[in-house]
Amino acid sequence: MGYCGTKRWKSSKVSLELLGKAREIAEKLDGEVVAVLLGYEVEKLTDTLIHHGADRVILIDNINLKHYTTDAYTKAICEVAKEKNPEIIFIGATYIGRDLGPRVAARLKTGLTADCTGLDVDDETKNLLMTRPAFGGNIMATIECPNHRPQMSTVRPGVFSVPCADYGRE
Amino acid sequence: MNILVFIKQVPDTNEVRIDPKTGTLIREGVPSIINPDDMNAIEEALRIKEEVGAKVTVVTMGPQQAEKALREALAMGVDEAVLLTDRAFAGADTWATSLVLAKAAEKLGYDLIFAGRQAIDGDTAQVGPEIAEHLNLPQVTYVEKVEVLDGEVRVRRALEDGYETLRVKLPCLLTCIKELNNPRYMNIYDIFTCYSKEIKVMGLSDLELQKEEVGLIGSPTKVKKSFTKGPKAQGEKYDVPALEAANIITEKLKGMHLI
Repeated sequence: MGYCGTKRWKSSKVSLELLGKAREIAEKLDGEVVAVLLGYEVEKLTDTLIHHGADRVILIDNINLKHYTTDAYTKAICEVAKEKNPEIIFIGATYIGRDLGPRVAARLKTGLTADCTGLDVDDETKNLLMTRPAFGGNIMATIECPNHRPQMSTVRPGVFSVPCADYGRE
Repeated sequence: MNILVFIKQVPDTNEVRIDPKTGTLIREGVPSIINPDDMNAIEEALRIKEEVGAKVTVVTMGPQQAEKALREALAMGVDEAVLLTDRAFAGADTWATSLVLAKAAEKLGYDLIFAGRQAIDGDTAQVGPEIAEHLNLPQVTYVEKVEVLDGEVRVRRALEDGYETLRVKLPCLLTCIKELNNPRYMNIYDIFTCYSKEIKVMGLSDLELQKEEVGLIGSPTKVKKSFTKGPKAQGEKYDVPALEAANIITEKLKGMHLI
């Protein structure tokens, strides 16, 4: 079972927050956390990702990924997803993440739950339970994506805390 | 130039009340409005129409009463309105919704598509990019400025910490934010004529879609449950005059090192 947290060329805080949560979910599902790092000359960030909870990092380092473009980033992430068949994909709900997420979900023909504030696993079905606010926060809804994979969600920055870095992690 | 604008009719969220027993929305008697970001999308299409000439078609998917939102758009000055309605469309998530809208776009033809960034009821911001993907079009989200050039548009896209300016070849899809413009009011002439204009209605068969692809059945995501947030903690109640209340508030905020 594979897990993807996506990362951009600059190591944004939300990506680290996601790694912490992904770690938690992966342990419940007995899976692993794979971070996908896209950018140009960003290899030095891989250690940070490992320290914050990634089991593996897939690095796509290419000059075409130096600046974010919807096309290139969608293509790169979809290629990785098609090859690795992850159970779950998490993306930070930054302006860029919210541009990228739906595009990737539509291409992979799967569901995406935006701006999740709670993530958990159903004990029985092992489906990801994604809780999010709607109607300007007046109502909360728990969403699942039972028959399509990967299960995708975006998470707003600051919702989860950054896990403590374990510099001994390799 | 053909411009399509996708809009959504949403409940006016300031008025939304939740049934405390069932945790569901009370929709009865709640006024509906055109989603605010979509108003910016309509305005931008109309502005381009005035500047370089274009036919503006506004499209929505929804129940029969969504017609009111389309009439309102007609009263603002759009040329045509299309309602995508079918029992089979009900309960759609963003994936199934965007598929229907994309099919409609194919049928109607387009050079430029506008949508609002997100709707105030769902707040997902997903339908725009998903339409673009279904149509294999370039997209720019969070658009705060649009300039039409020859065969392309120059747009400014907002980011958390600034903006970037992009040039995009037509056809493309742009999602609009409120910084883009100030939506106009309906004008008297169009208010009078909007009710005599025909609204084109399209359903499942017009769009050549299968029942399994749309609505609740075609949606990858399902709502498992919905609930209201409970209060986080017991509050404190003061029954004091305004001046004293202000002092209490500032003291409390100081106590929390917020001010």
